[in-house]
Amino acid sequence: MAESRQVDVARSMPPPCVPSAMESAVNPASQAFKTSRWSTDEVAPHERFDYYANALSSALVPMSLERPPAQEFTAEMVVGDLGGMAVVRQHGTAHRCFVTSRDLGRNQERSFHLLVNLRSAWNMEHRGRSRMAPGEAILTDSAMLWDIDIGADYEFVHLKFSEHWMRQWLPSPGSLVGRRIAMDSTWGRALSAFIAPLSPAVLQHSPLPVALIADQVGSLLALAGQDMGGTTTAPPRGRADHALLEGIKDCMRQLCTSPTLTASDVAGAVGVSLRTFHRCFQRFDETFGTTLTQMRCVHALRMLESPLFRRVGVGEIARRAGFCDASHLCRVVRARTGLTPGQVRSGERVPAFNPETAEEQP
Amino acid sequence: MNSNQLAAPILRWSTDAVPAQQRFDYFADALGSAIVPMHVDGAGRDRFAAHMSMTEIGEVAVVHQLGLAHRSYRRREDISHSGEDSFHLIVNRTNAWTISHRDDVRLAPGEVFIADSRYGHDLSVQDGFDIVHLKLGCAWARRWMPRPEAVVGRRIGAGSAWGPALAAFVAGLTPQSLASAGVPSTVLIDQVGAMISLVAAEMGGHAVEVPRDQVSLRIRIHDCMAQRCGEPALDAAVVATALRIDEPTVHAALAAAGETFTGLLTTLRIDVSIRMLRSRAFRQVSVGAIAERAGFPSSSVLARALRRHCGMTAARLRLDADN
Repeated sequence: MAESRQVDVARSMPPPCVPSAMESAVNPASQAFKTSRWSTDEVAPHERFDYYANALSSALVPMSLERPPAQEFTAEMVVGDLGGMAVVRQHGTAHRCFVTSRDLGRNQERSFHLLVNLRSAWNMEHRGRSRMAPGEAILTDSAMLWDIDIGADYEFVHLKFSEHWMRQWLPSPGSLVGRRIAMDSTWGRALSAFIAPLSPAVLQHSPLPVALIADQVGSLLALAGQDMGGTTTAPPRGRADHALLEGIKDCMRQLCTSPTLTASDVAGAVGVSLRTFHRCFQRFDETFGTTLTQMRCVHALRMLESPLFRRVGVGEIARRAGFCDASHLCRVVRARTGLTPGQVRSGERVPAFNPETAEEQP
Repeated sequence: MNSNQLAAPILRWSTDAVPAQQRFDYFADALGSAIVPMHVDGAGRDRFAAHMSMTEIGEVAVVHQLGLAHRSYRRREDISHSGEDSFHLIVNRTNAWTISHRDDVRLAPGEVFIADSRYGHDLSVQDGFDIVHLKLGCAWARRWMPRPEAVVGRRIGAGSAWGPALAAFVAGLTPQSLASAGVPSTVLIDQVGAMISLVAAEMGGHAVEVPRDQVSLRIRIHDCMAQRCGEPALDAAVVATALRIDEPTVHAALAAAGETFTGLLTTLRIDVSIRMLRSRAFRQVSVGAIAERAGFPSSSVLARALRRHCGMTAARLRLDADN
């Protein structure tokens, strides 16, 4: 069993932050920005894991940490807070960190995170699964679930952006979230190359104002987003709402199997207010709830009909599709197809399944 | 900021326009008019072909060149006909190449070289080339580098921290990509400048460390405000807390330079708004939403600020960026 920690920031004390060399050498007020450093070297071996779990949760976002058993654990993190953007460097040994829906609930401020591991390949689960090569970047959204698995020694450049900052550079940050920014795209490569040297120490000694460096990151993100087919050309007027609804549905398709998905999760992910979100569904006579059930149902039916899933129980299929339990799945499948999950499995034809008409049913 | 700036035209040359025998001369003429006077020759006269496009963004000309093996060189008479001094940043995206310019240098694909028009050169590409060439006005270069001479004639490659960042960025800049980028061209050219200055600081031989005791408090206040101006509730107290100083100190530091907190905040928000309005990527974002993202309480406040600042409406700024 891997050792794991879920840190309750509210109840535990923030870990002591070691004054960085720079901070102790010069008057802190004369620094360009505030730098904080945490290192497991500063505490006894048996305290290291808890210490770092605490550090991550208090310095970045509330999260849970897990490490491989019987292996030495070390980690170091330096955070330079520039205001709208924080530059973080992390290095250390293998671990897994992730957020649970409980962690998400404790997160008070939405932020976006751009992650690059300079040293090793790693796995990311965030709106889908990505295998990340060393040097490749990915953008994450703190309002959504994520799970990072780092199998080897790592060296991360981690940029944290406030939502305000991000929305000044990307028209809809959601379009870039969770997508591997591949090195074979021109701007993806330029973005990775630019952020690789960034560290709090480099910025403290930068010959340029830090605001200029932050702007650079912003426009490279915008260009990389454009490379990846982000929205650059306006759809004809009047179809904007339809495009938004399509954007929302795209996002929901990726998230619908999360059983705790709420309308505000999705609104947050696509970057619109909850009011705009519901109004958009209303305009097309749809609702968030029925659309979500519909999407889960599509997943469930696919699994029920697939020979690959023959050995997976109906309860498990319900769970994987995002339903709370088997009976909920049964009710939905029956309402939409007139069949039980068992009948669907045994090959009774599902009547031509039309998502449009299915949604109109109660 | 010149907000009336229209999208610059793209000029094009292609050796397809002339018979094989005249292609080296044609290309030399094209280089002469787009960049600086020079000669072109080589062994493969019969097979030679080259295509070039160019656009000018202020004091910087962005040139994209594609073609086959050749040699280009500049003699004393070419130098005397060169007009104003300029610096030339060259990246061959696909092939290795060599250049003699103060020293003999061999460059790998994707490495950066900076040349100075006051010196001759002798450049050879053995295979093909796909080059991004930025012609940097002398005044522009000197605004970004205290001493451009320090970076001239040297290979800027993988051994440096910022070299790969500069190379990867420049490799993306072609007249076409500038025309379709979701970020205004002037912003991109400023970024080339910023990266060049990082490289220059790194290559200056000695670390150009800015002693932080001397970084003016005013600059730190500017930096912090520029980062956070999108927060509608940003005030002097928030900035003071972030910088670990007290609020009267914020006001005093700004007042010493004849600035006020609210005046500066409005200027920063206007700058951000103009950038978004001129950006293709934000075309779908309404003016009201741009005002909100820039930290203005409403679009009418943004409209008033724009009118006072540059005498333009938001719609007009957008329209100009479209042309």
